[in-house]
Amino acid sequence: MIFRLREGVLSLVCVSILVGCAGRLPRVEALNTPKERVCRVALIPFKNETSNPVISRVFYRILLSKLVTEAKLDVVEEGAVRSFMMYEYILPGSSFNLDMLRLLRRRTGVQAVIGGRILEATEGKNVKLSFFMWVRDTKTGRVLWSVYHSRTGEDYQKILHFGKISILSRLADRMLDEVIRRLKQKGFKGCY
Amino acid sequence: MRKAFGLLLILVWAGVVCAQIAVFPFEDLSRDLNGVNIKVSRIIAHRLEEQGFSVVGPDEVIKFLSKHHIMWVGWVDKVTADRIKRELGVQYILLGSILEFDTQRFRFGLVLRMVDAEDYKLIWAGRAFFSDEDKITFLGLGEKSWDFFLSSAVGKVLSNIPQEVLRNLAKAPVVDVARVVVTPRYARPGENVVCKAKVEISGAEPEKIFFVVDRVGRIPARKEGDFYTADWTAPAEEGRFGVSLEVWWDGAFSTKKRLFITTYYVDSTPPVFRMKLLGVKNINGEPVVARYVKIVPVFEKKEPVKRWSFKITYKGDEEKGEEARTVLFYSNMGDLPPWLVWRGKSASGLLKNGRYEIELTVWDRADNSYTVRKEVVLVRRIESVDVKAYKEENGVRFEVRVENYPLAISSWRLALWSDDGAVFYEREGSGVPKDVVFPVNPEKGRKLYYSLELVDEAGNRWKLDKRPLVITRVKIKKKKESGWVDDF
Repeated sequence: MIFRLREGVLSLVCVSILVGCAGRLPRVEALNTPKERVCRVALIPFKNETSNPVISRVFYRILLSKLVTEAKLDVVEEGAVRSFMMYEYILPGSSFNLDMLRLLRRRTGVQAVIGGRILEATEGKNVKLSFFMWVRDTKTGRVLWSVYHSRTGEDYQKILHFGKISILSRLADRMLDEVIRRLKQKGFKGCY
Repeated sequence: MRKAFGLLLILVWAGVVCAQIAVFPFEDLSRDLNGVNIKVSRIIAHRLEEQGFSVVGPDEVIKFLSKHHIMWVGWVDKVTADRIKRELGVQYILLGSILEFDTQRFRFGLVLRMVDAEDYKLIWAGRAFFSDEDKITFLGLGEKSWDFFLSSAVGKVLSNIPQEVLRNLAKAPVVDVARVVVTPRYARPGENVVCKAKVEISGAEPEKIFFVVDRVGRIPARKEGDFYTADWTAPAEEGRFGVSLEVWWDGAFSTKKRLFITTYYVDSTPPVFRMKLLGVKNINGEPVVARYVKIVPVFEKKEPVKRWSFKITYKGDEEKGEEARTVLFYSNMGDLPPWLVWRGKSASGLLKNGRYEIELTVWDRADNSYTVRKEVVLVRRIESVDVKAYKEENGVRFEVRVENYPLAISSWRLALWSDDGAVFYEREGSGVPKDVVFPVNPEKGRKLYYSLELVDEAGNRWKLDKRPLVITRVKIKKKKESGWVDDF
């Protein structure tokens, strides 16, 4: 009886910890294993599904910076991607089909393309950001990894007001830190 | 404090880096999608320029963009990058995006990225965020100004550049040594050695310069005019020691360059040699210089000679009350000749016979000296010759006596002259002339002359030329007649 009670309490504690953490960490799915080590990538503009007109570009800039400095990837300069989209009449936020991906691979030498959607961006007292991101193989068109992440500024609050994030760009920065860490755990290695 | 230090590192880094950078006007996403902020880009450009960067500022870039009808500033395509490289003469393009810019609520967010215009490659990206939480210092003691905020943000974003990117980006300063003077190059242990180096530096000025000396260590250099100088005490150990110059650039770049500049020598051993005297005769166990002496220095270990001196001292004569004195001194710089010859002369001519001391001193390059002295007896001329002529029945007899002369007379020549210059008689022989009789009868009123030449065994000649013949009168004791002889 005592054993069962102890087992039950332990189970409850574990479940509560797991549930608590699960809501906070980005959900990263490794869908396909890349055939080659992903090193050179292109970042395509994110589709903005929020009312904030600049959030996708802010997010894009922060993500690009993080892919270079933290993920240690060889990222194609934004201008090359925008030029490609312009020549191929692809609107920002539009999806790339397999032919487009292969063409981009041929033009820029990228092994994968990173894109996604900004789902929610709320400013104010408690900022909130939700996004969906994918990494696609430019050879096969398959999605290698997909990421969903959503957080508020208060999620980072520790004691009193310390740690609370009040600006959206900083929230995006912190969230992308977590995403890149999780992606690395799932096999998303850099060039070096 | 840390931010200020970060900024300092960046400023140092900026000094080191000399690559040309075009700073684009920053896109300002805090306004809208097409917002442009030139103020912040100017601040960054200005700071970089102040620290030695060759920067093409945002105002120049705007002219370029309008010339080519480029409507965006947040990114750069390949063709534009190449045009920038060609037209503005830059190697790197700095692009910036301001994500937050709110002076009222103290919010600032900046993302920078650097593109290599040469190969159109994104080589670095960095970001910095500040909000009102950062404004409040610990326990709310004081507030920071917006300018400090901005300055910290710029420093922070640039300080994130990793070392490997910096090394690729930076054109390291070139250092060369134009001139090196080390005195003395050959030192004795404990002697003070001074090294001066004129350093040519292309690029940032170094933080520190050291002289790295073998067996001594690292010595900070001091600036004296165009030269960096250091001095140290030569170690006790003998040998050849290297001197290098170590140039330090502190800060983010943290570079050290070491250049081997020179060597110096420590020498405590004197140039030991012995003096070999050739051409001297050993008479009664003493070296006698009869005609000349050839002084040959024989070194134990051959080494270059810096200077040398040669001295002849007359040892004096106690009997005659003569004191010792230097009769010949000669010194010279440079290497010692293989031998020296002394012919018994001083500057005033042939020296008189006597005891002399030959002294040879040699200094090596470290000024270690070694002296060798040897005493010799100089017998260079016949000083006392007594010539006497006697009238005899069958002519004039000459008697020659050579006094106090240690060398043997090997030959002589005696001639008798008339007053009109004609030679009557001439004789020669070996040894000292004895009982040489010339069958002449000197008459009253007629002058006769004689010449005598003596040559000793060393070849020294002694000559009396055309001396008037003076007959030494000798009282002839007449024999007393012993009486008559009975003749039976």
